[in-house]
Amino acid sequence: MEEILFQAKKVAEDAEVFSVALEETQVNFEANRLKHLQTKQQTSMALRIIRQGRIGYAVTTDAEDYPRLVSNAVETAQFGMPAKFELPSANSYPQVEVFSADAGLVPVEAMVTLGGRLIEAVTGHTPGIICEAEVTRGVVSVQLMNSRGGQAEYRKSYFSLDMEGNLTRGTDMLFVGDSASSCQPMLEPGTVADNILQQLELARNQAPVSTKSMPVVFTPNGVASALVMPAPSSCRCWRLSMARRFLKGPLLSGKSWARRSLTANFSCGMTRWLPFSPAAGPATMKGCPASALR
Amino acid sequence: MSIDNAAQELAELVRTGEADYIEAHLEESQASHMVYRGRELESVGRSEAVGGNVRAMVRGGWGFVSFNSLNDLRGRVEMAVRQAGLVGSEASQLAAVPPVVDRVSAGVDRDPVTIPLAEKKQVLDEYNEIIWRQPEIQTSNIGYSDGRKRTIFLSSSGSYIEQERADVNLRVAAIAARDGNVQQAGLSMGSRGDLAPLRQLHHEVERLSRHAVELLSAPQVKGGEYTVVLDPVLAGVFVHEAFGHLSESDFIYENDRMRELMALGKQFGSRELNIVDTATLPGLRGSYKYDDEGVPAARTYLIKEGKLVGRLHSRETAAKLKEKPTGNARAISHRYPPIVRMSNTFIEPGAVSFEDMIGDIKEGIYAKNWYGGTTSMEMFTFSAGEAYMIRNGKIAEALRPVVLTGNVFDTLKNIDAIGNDLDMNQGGGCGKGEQMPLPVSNGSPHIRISRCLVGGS
Repeated sequence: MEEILFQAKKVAEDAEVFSVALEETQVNFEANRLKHLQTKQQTSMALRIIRQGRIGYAVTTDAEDYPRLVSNAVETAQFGMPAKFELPSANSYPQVEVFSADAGLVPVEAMVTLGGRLIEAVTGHTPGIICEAEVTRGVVSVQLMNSRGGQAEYRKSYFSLDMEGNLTRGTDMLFVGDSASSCQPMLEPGTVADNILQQLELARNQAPVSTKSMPVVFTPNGVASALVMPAPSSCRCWRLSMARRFLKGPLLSGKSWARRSLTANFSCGMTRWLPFSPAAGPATMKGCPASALR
Repeated sequence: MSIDNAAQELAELVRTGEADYIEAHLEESQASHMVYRGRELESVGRSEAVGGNVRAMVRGGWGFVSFNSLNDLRGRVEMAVRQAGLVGSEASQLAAVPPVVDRVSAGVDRDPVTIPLAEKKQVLDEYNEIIWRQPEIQTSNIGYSDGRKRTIFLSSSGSYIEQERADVNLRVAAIAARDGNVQQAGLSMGSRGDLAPLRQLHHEVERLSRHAVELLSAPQVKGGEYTVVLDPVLAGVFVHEAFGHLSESDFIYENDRMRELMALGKQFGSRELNIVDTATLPGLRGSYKYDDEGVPAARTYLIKEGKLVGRLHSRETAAKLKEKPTGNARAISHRYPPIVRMSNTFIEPGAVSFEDMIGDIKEGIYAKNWYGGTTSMEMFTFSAGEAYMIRNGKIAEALRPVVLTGNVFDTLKNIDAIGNDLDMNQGGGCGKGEQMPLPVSNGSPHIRISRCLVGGS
């Protein structure tokens, strides 16, 4: 990384090198049976430069061919966005727990047992349902350094459990599914099984629905995907500037936009500090300390 | 180490590995992309990747190891075999295919990735400028990407296949707004590496930009059942998303109920309905000579004269269902194992002209282009990119984009006219599991669906 940074600095005002290495093992069940074991090894290196005030960006999996990585970044910098920021200098980062050595050490046999128990729970409840399940464990190592002395490095573990089920009756097909993930190992089917069983119970009673306006009750997962996920992206700066164009009347700040768009009862926050949460981490992808935002 | 040297080393390891079957893929790829949001080029980048995988089958179980360090290839093979051994518990079944040694070139005069970014940017700048000429345009989105890859496939059966392919993809959207009313129009195009079709869209871009503004004044359709005519793009998306995925045998082969539902010989539509998937058509984004299991591409009728007559296979699903392999096992990159995927999927043309198709519709809807949507098993919901009322056999006023929803089996039966104007849609890509976007194409002539549920006011 130091060599890439050194070479990039020769042709740019500033540069930043970002490296990600991943080791992952996945156990896959198909049609209620164990089907695949997969292992993935992946490393990649990204270079971001600021050259003549503009951002250039290139990615490679072959760190040894850094002259090409640098020349690709230089070519993109001709057209890149103006760099209206400075790369972060040396920072102290918050302590965020995102690595559990246990997650990477869960034996494959235990992952197989976990997936099997999940499938048993669901097929025991609803005979005839055909399930696919995945149990995944992995470790990601992230390293970042820039020409202003900024440097971040951390390891993150992850463990996830995913399941989908399909129940067919005549031409009627029911799909159920749920997933959970953490930086720590999860060795019980727990909420994933419970949520799928709840979906199956709710599906017992089918009701015809006509096209019309009506109140809709969202499940917590429904709220997360339909409302919570779009909210932070709507608050990104460029989207706010777009929102100003779309909405009538004076808009002085993001807060006033939010007041127009959301009810008084809605609060939404974002944090990378939640210990062992899959999206947590001490630093952003640009080397800034992670923060919390309401 | 180059992928060619790695392939030489792997050939021996794969041949002597202790498994029922072993295959390896090696891949080197280059790509570039540009994304505009509004007037600004928000993101531009180039990427390069090298990697590979080994897949082994032991007693019916699979082990898969992917990597981008080409060191310790022996260890990768041993791990894949060991993993497969942990999984397997029955006899391995793979449809027999003869070993192939071949080399397939990308077939493009000029590799799109090597074209200078400045040259591509100039075209995209022109499109963005055209969009912004229209009053009331509030923003635009343009996404361009191209890629080229060279793969080497080798197997314990003796296959050694080197294939190159290139791909280009472009989507353009214009977004207009007035008094809090926001409307969008877009287009999506792609090619098998040839940039030329994507350089000549000035007229289409101007039209879509104008249409986005026109939609601000367009009425919303009244919800209900209508006779709906789909253009080739929307009909192609319907046949891919709503029907094609149900024809992928990995969804069927271990599921007795699905096998009953998708039993060959079952009548799914009128005698005029023929649905085909084939990777053999030259120049289409879903085309290839061999799939990622080294099986030659084939032309597969899924529905012929209204009857279900075929489905798409990997070697394993073909063996288990005692059918012929179709060459549809595909992976988006070396990081994933091949799974059953479509290639170029389309409704074959019939004999009805567009004028005759709409001529006897008193009140209906003409739905064009694709804007978004979802399928959940047999149910689908698609948003048309453009929509017009059909009144007394003529295209009438523009509507705000409509949402079509229904059951695929009912809808196939309700197709009562198939046009004579097949057109293939080369935009976008297909997603399945974690693997997206896979280059595919889909198409259809205009089709007419009676009693189609349309969401509206």
